[in-house]
Amino acid sequence: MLEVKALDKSYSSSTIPFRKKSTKVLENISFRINKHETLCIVGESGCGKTTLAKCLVNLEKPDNGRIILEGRDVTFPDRKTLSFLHTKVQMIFQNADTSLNPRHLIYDSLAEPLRLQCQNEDNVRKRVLQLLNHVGLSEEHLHRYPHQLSGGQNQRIAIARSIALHPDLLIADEITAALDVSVQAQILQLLKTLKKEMDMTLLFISHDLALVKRIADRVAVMQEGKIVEINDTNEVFHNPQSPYTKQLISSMSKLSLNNHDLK
Amino acid sequence: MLSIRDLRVEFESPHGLIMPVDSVDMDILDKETFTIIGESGCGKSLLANSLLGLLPRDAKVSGKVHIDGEEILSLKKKEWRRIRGNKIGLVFQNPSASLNPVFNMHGHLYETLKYSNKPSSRDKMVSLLKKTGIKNPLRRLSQYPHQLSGGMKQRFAIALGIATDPDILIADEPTNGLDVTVKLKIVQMLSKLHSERSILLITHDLNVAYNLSDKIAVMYAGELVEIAPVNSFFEKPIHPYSSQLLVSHPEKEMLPIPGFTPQLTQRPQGCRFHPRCALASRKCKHEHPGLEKIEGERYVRCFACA
Ligand SMILES: Nc1ncnc2c1ncn2[C@@H]1O[C@H](COP(=O)(O)OP(=O)(O)OP(=O)(O)O)[C@@H](O)[C@H]1O
Ligand SMILES: Nc1ncnc2c1ncn2[C@@H]1O[C@H](COP(=O)(O)OP(=O)(O)OP(=O)(O)O)[C@@H](O)[C@H]1O
Ligand code: SF4
Ligand SMILES: [Mg+2]
Ligand SMILES: [Mg+2]
Repeated sequence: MLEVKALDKSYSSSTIPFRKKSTKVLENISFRINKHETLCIVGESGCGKTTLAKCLVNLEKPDNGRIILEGRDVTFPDRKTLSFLHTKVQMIFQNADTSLNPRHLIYDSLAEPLRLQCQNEDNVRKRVLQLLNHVGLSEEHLHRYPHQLSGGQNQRIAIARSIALHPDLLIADEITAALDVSVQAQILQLLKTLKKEMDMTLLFISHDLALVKRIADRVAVMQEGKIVEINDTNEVFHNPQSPYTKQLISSMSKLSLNNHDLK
Repeated sequence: MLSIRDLRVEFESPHGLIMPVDSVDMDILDKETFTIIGESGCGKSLLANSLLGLLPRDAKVSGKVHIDGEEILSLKKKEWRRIRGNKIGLVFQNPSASLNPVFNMHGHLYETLKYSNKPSSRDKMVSLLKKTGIKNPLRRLSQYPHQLSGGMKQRFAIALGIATDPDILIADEPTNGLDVTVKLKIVQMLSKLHSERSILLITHDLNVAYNLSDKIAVMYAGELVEIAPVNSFFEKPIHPYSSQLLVSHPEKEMLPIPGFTPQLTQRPQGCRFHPRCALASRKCKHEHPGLEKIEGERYVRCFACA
């Protein structure tokens, strides 16, 4: 479905003009996402996961490398390719609070992508209510602004918005980090159903290894801008190869609800 | 240390008065880590922010909050300055939205330290960043929020919270967005702080709650529904909402609680959890249960369990 070949990306790290020193954030990233699978990316905070996801939806430009979506090169898209990319791939961001427009009512945030599809307002309204239902919210939330909702409620609005147009590939960047475990379980059930109903492929970025272990088909582990390990979920958890993966798994078990060592 | 009585936070809304935080009573002892868990949207952040006088202007707060015997809710705006930073420090939820984009890290730390009249030397700042596990602290000081990853901002928010060395640290989702190795470090760091001061921790991360807390309080629809010492809570949660919450954890069955969070404008009569509760009886639909002491240090708001 999507193939990434030797992607590099750097940011200039100095804020002083003319003395730009650039730091590599992504280095030689190559992987593929197969249709219908759930690929999870885990890794150090700051290792470049969000940057990678942003490159995939053209919110950041890579320095080198190629991104191929269903056979079509979308690395540096022209307008037509960009609209192809956007109908196929949607991304939900790490911080819902900042990805929703603070000056738009929730209703308008949800209706906006639907209106672009030239639906009449009646249908838009119906669909908005349906979307809200999907993510476990209700009408009372529609006529509020993002700052009047809790962190978790905003996150659910962002999810509803991203699935409004039935993308084929959904990129979810730490979408459940702000939610309680019950809402998290509910959203994952929802994603599972949507995946089935809408034939969706999922790229799921998360720090929650216990969660990843449950939902991933394959797992990619990143550290300092590189993929240090990518394999079937079972292999990664039961037979980790890279030292960093081993460290992650040992930290996970130290924090586990079944472990008393830290107390 | 900190005592909260009948704390309410209310808003006028187009659909009438709403009360996201409803008569909360709780006590945090000296050097105790008291953790609130509960549904997203149940009122945890509003509760925490009300202790710092940081609510939106249209919020109405009532009740009594004493810190070391001093009532703080009735304080004037100017007097909050003495409390904030010195008595209570805050690690706010979602640093991306709360950090000022035009200030670099140095600027944020400088403002925070100056606000509570603390020395703001570079060495002090560097040691704070180090304490929270930020690598290259000197270089980082000159960076702006947009140049930091989510996890880095989170660690920086913790550095800001402990910068002024408060007696009580309120940490609202302090480990959100951190990878497990860093999370483990932060948990270890906070548990060290824990021997120095009281912490009010708010978290969705049950692993963090389990490993850091002395006491757990569970909040549902604006109310506390259970308070318990941490070990007995995780061994045997008593309130039906608490036990179902544990079941939703990925290390357990990961089954969501059926039904939906009640709307703020249409909270169910009787027990607020009754539409979703497997144990609900007739009484639960009509009468509102109180928070009752049942055994040892355990308090539960449920007819079936009291
Ligand atoms: N606009 C920018 N300018 C300069 N540096 C940046 C910028 N955006 C990100 N970075 C840097 O790039 C690196 C990777 O950031 P990114 O947000 O992709 O990490 P991440 O893996 O998503 O981390 P987290 O798990 O904490 O969200 C970090 O070191 C960050 O400081
Ligand atoms: N300014 C406001 N006006 C009206 N309602 C508000 C306002 N701020 C928050 N609320 C409502 O109050 C409730 C509690 O919000 P709060 O932010 O305390 O939730 P929370 O428990 O911290 O949730 P989360 O875990 O998702 O952060 C929510 O239902 C929210 O919609
Ligand atoms: S009071 Fe009744 S409805 Fe409420 S939690 Fe207890 S058993 Fe369930
Ligand atoms: Mg990120
Ligand atoms: Mg909150």
